[in-house]
Amino acid sequence: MLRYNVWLAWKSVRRTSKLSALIILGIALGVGISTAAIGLYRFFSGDPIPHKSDVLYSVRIDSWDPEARAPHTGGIPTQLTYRDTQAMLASDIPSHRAAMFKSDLYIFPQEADQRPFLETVRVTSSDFFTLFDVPFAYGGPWNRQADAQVEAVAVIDQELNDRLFGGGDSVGKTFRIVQQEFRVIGVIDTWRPKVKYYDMTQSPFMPLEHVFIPFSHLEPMELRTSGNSDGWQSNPTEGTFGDQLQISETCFIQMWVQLDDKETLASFQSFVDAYTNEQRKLGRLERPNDNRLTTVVDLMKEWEAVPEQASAMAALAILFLVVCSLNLIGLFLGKFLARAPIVGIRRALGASRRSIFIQHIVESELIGLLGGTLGLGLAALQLRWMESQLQRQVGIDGFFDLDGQIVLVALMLSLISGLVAGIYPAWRICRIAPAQHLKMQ
Amino acid sequence: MLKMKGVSKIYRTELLETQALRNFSLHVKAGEFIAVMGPSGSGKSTFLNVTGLLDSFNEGTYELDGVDVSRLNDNEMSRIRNEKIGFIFQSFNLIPDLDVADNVDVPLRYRRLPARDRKQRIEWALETVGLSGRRHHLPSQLSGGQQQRVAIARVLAGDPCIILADEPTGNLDSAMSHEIMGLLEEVHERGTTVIMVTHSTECAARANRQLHIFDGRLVDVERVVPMPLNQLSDAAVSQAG
Amino acid sequence: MEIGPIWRAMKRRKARFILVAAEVALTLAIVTNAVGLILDAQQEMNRPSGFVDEHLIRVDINNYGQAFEDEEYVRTVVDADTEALRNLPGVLAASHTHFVPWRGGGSSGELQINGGGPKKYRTQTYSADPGIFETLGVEILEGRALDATDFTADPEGDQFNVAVSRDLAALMFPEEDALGKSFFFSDPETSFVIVGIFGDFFNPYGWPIGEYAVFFPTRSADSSGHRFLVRAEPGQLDEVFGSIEGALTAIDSERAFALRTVTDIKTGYHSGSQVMVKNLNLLMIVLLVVTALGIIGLTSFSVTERRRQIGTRRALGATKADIVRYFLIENWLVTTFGVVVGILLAAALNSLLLTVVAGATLAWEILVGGVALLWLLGLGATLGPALRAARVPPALATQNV
Repeated sequence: MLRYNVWLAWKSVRRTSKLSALIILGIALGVGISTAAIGLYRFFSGDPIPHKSDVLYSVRIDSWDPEARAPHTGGIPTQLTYRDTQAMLASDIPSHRAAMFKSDLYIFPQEADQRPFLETVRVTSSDFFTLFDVPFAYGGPWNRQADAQVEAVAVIDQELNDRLFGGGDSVGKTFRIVQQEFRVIGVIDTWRPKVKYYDMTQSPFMPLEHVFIPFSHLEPMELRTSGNSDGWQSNPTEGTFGDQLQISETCFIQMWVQLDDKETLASFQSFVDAYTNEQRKLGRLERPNDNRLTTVVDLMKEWEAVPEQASAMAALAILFLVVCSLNLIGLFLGKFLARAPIVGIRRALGASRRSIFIQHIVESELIGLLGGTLGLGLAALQLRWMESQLQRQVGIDGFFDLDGQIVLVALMLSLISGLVAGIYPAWRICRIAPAQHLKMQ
Repeated sequence: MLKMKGVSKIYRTELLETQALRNFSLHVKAGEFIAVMGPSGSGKSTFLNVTGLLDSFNEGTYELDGVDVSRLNDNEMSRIRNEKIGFIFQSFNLIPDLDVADNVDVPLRYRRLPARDRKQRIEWALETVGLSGRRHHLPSQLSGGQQQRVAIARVLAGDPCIILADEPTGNLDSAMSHEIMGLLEEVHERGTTVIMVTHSTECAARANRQLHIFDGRLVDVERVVPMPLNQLSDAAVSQAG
Repeated sequence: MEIGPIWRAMKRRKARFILVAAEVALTLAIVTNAVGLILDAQQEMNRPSGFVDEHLIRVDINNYGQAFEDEEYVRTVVDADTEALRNLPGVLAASHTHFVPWRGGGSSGELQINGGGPKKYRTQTYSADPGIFETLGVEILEGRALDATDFTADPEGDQFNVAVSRDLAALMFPEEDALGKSFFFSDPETSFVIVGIFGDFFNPYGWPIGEYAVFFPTRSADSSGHRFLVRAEPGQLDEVFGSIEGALTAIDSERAFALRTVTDIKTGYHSGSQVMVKNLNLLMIVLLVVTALGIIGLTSFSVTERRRQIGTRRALGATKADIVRYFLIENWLVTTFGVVVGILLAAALNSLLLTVVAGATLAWEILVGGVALLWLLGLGATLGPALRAARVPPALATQNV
């Protein structure tokens, strides 16, 4: 019966090709524009690491001025001071933990004819790669021992691997960062979360770094952050770089931990609170305890990772789809009722209301799917166009590529709009009395 | 009242040419009640359309109520239809979305009559056809005979000088037909000229004069009651007396 | 034709007219809000910085040479760079500063007025040499520009002369003249005296402090590098852009240069809004086309369905114009009903959108414009099918189906 209905629907589409084309175009435009907007919204809001986003926590401590709340959205600093970071890294409660910041540093290739170039380096702990499930093409991350012993090892991505060594397995090869010789220990495979969720401090959409080195190089190399640094006190000027770092209240370090269950979460929270209580006794952290462990998704919300424009466009585009569906109700009404005499005959020949109803719903769904497929193409075009407009800001190729989920969204939208648009007209036509139109023939 | 001379009407399609009216001449005096008969496809409908200014014709002249209507434009024809002609259709042609009063109102609106005048005419017309109590009913809530009475009220309200009735009883059973013919005769007795196309010899018999159309030609004119208007009125009066 | 019977007839076919009215209402709500968003975004994009953006080039210099470990050498190079840039043909002014307009951020701090109690004011803070005001094209409104004497003040001293933006001066001293007053940041021992007030200044920042700025006469060079803003003479931008790197390489080649025009930076800063504006325009146009097609479709359907009725009306004396008018009035009634609901919807959607987007409440002019647009759209879309209806022959009335 379904095959018969699909065949009838196809015949009807072919027979009234002009009207059908109009309806299909209507669905395509509605589905296209709303899919693009929803896709855009989802790129920004989607969980970038769904399989473990519920165990990853960012660590924040309210170390701000005792007399004023921090000006950040959350009311506490978004980053940690160096000394608080040290204390957090010392805890064994999280199964993985990583501190990090970025620094713009010169890379000196081994080939003498290549000029040195400036590169943003992520200075972080070995656990970074396990925390965020970074895939490796060659080699792997350094270990905790390398962290502790300030080993001159680096992880690079494919792009830098191509640039420095012409690609291939470059594990063991060396290059210079500022004055220091580094040995490649791993090469990252393709890895591009759409949102740079591990460090959203400047923008959730900054390009990912191409080089990663152990966090412990911070002191000896006298590294400075090229990200945000937030302070409420003048920086100390006395003493060595290390001394200054130890007493500085400047926040510039992001910290992530993996807490695998509720108990670990609770015990780490009390560990942090105990630490700040302790510090208060020593005359620091005079603000009441406001230490936060925040999941990736919540942190993205706090950072408003979804640009307000994307939310506004998604809202308008969904309403747009509603208009398109309303429109289609009218067109289907015209298309179906024009056929009332034939339906009268079918009814007289014994077709039940139900079968007439189903026949027409099948037709509207077929048209919906045809429109949705076309709409998907339109959405892809529109996203490609937006990407070309945003290339500079986003900086990552393929950011707006259609994926399985978007295709699914488009198909769902087209089925729903086909159904919404078809139900009333199909109901109207199935209530045609069998005799009514026969008499007039 | 109506003078047609040498009127021809030809329908052309890509494949063939049909001559629906051939050299058709007719003279109808004011106050006549004429029945037009003929087999299907004889040109009765074309005759009615041309007479009612619903369709143009190719040759000849046509004068209606002293106006030469052969050279009128569409707007002028609309005005004549609106003011001088009253139509009664086989399938009533009431507007399904309008109630009885609004249906009767339709031609009056196109005549741009003031509201008060329209209201009086509608009241009077509905009273005349005996449907005052149904003025807010929809056509679908009425029987066929009642619908045709609304159509007659629509004609009466417009007070035309000629009524064109196209098989007015064709869709009605005999009791209702009788009732409608009675109404038509009543209207005729008020002095309105009536031309009625019909299949029914019984209906035709109630007319003053019968015309037969065959193959687009007027073939036979049978004067049943060759009586001019003043005499007709006298007869009606004497009959009443 | 008058409205009465048309309205009464429409009440018998509610579904289809409600459909069109709903479509019109939603279209009005979407279009007015989209226009509101576009106007807000455009206002934001057109907001002037107060600087000669179109003539400015940012020059980032990053050192890698060993020689830069020596502070004295860095100072020499900065001076030489400044001299070289100012002497380049086509350059009007250049300033050694770490300020970059239109980056969407910068540096900021919280200050307190000397003797002014605990109240803190957050403001953008930038180091700059005395050339900054000429380079930016910003006027000194009161007092004086920073000069060489301010610039050579003892860096270890406890008092510095600074210039502040007009809006910051007004914020700190709403009642009095800010000139000569002083303030401090976290250290009360080091105070900053206002010697000049400049305007206009606007540089968007993550916090709402776009109009507030302090310029310090401090060098911001260190071993890793420094930055310049260069102002080209009108029409000379491209030429200057091309010659900078050569001039600076001649002074020391062991460093890398990153040049970008401020116009380019500004475009990047606004690219999100730009894309939204383009997308909304696209959405609006497609929406209006879709709505128009919807009205055309439903009216055509209506005409086809009512051919017999139209023939009857023609037979009863309606002129072609009467028929056209009938459909136009009918559509106008539906549209009017739609826009009344649409105005309410637009207001509701507006307040919803304001929860996600910063912007202004919908101006009544936009609503009036939207209503007029939809009236015209409705009438325009109805005209085609209505003219088709007028061509229905009156003879149709006598045809028996």
